[in-house]
Amino acid sequence: MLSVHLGDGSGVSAVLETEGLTKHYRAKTALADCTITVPQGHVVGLVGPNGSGKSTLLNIAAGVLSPTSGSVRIFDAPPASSQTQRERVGFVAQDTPVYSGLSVREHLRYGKHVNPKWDDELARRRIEQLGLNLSQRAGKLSGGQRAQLALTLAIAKRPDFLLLDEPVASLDPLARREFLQILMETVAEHEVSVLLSSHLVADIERVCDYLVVLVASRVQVAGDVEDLLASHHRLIGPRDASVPDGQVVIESSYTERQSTLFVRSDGPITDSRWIVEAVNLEDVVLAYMGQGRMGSSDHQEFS
Amino acid sequence: MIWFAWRQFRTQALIAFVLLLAVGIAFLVTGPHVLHTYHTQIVGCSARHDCTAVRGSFLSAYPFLQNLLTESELLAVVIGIFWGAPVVAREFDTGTYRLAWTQSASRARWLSAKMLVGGIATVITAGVFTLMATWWSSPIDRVRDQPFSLFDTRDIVPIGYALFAFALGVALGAVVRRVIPAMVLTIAGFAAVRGLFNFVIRQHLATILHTSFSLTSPATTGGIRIGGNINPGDWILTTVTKNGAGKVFPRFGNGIDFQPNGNGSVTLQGVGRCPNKIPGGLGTGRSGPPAAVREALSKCVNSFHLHQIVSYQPVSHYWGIQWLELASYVVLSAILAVFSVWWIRRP
Amino acid sequence: MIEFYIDTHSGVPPYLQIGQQVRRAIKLGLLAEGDQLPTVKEVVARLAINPNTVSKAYRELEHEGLVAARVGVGTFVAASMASESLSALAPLRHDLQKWMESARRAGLDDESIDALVRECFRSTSGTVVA
Repeated sequence: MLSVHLGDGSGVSAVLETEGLTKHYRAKTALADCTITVPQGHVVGLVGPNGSGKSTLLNIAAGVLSPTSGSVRIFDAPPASSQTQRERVGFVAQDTPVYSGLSVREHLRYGKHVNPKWDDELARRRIEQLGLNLSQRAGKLSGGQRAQLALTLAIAKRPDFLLLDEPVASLDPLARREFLQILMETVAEHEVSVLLSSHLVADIERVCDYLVVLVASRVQVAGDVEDLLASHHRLIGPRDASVPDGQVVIESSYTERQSTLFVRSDGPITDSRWIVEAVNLEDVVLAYMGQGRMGSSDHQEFS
Repeated sequence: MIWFAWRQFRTQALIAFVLLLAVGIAFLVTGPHVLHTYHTQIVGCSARHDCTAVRGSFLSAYPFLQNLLTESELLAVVIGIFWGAPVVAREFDTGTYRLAWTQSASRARWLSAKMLVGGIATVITAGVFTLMATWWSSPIDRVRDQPFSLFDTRDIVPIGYALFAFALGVALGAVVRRVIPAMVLTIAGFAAVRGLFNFVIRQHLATILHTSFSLTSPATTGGIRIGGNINPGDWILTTVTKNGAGKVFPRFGNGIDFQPNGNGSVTLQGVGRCPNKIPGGLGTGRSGPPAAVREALSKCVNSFHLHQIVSYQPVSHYWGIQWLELASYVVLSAILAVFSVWWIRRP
Repeated sequence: MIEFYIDTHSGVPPYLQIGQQVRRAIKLGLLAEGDQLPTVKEVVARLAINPNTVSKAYRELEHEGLVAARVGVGTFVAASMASESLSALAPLRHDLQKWMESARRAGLDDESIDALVRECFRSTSGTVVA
């Protein structure tokens, strides 16, 4: 498992820290030995195929689910462990649950009553911006409107950390774009750290500057997006050429005469037989997802 | 949080209010007539010598409403499954717990508010209903004069039942996390506890009194009435029939029957054969059995030296038991409430 | 005010694209000294991209001396196209247009023109005209 931390002694504190976090159910393991450190001030993307444990991790971080073993700390304390901490964390769960019998206005009133730091003006401004009818019952809203309502509720409590579980998965492209616009505007305005999961790499590429890849309940890679892009390459070379020094092969494919390797570079590539190509974020995600599927987290040495 | 708990509960409260109103109207409309019938027919009945007949028809007045009252147990069950079980379980079914538990208010505050609103509504609903029921049926109850027979549906204990059913529903809903299974378990649990109280615990909630008396003259040629010497309103728990030697006879139900054997021989069933002959068998004349027959039957019964030991709760203990039983259910409800909060707070 | 756009398929990271668009606008005279760039919030609210991307782009432009950030107010263009180059733009554009027309008249299709331009560009890049 690879972790590329932002830690450079600059004192950036972590908003989320897990160590050996595991969640077992009777029939299956939802999360296995997850150890990550997510720094503050970023929009972190959590990617992976369905069933890989993204939802489990987010629900545990939000304090809604308890782990089987391992530790998890939000702002250096267990999730939902104190009033202060509950005020600092906002969560939008999968399927964006709302109370279908209550109106939009009543949801806002609810938020105001149970959250001391509630910013009612912000909430109303957003609702107006979205064109939602305050008197409408939440059960009658469209999927996109419900997601926006849930996001508004999470944002208006002015958290320092926002957790979003596949918030745009079931939204049409326009609703998706609008959701992300509001999310980014909020991040810019209020300096919120965000952890959001998605299986749409295009969205992740747009909004995230930190990435965690989760496959089969395990973390495959975690790190700053720019660092990841800078440290991974695609190598194309003759079939018989050996892997250059300091390169860890994540994925490989071969034809009769050619090898194509997706590598993580721990050092410069000096072997001139290989053509070096830059990669994009989707390449990185796919490569690590492929590696995860095969169940191996060690590099393969080709001799 | 209280406002929100109330808002969530609003529809259920409205339904309860409408139903209470309907029942209240039914009681209000028919109540005065019951009272009127009581004062005109029952009060002067002894002077008119028609008490038996009038009492009989009065006791079966408004059968629909009377049946409703005996089924008012259901009120507690309905409250338990429709108000109690969904409190936590519904939020799991719909997933909204993921919204509720990530607000700044703690889970304890969240559940406490919901239980407070539901609990108060339960007490008010059950209280109003029981009040109306007790008021409406008080003339009939006076005539029936068997307060313990309708203990479950009068005065104050039904409030305890309803509160307990509610608390049980909440607790089971919190543990099971699914509404329908929680409802089923609530019904089962409620029935079990109620059964335990009814058949085992209640009779011990006040000091049991004992009395013993000899069985002597039979009232009729049919047999001896048992327990007929106790106050009609007292609650008889056990009766033991013994003879002079201390031999215990099996349970006799309401009485011991005479069994004619032919040619003047008569057996006191379950006890033994009469040592004397009963003249003319058990035939009766037009104005009851002739004096000679009655004398012979008395002699037969006396020869066995039967006496009865009766354990009972007197009518005077009625209110003491009501309060104690109510208190027990309230304590149970409180324990369940604390348990529910503890349970959902577990990480 | 300039409005940015992101081409997700260009292979160029978004922060570089923003930088490019600002530089191009300055070079073409669309942005002059003192003009305000949209705030980070405004940009991300429209494009739905990470604010750090925009901040980084603005920081690099500031590093290059093209823009200057005024705390609490915004980011403003600090430089303009050198006036000589600006004045040279119009005749250069004119010449290029004439060349394009003759290339088409000679029968070159789009791809050939493109290839020709790129080749000349490549062979002359790196050489500084004294």
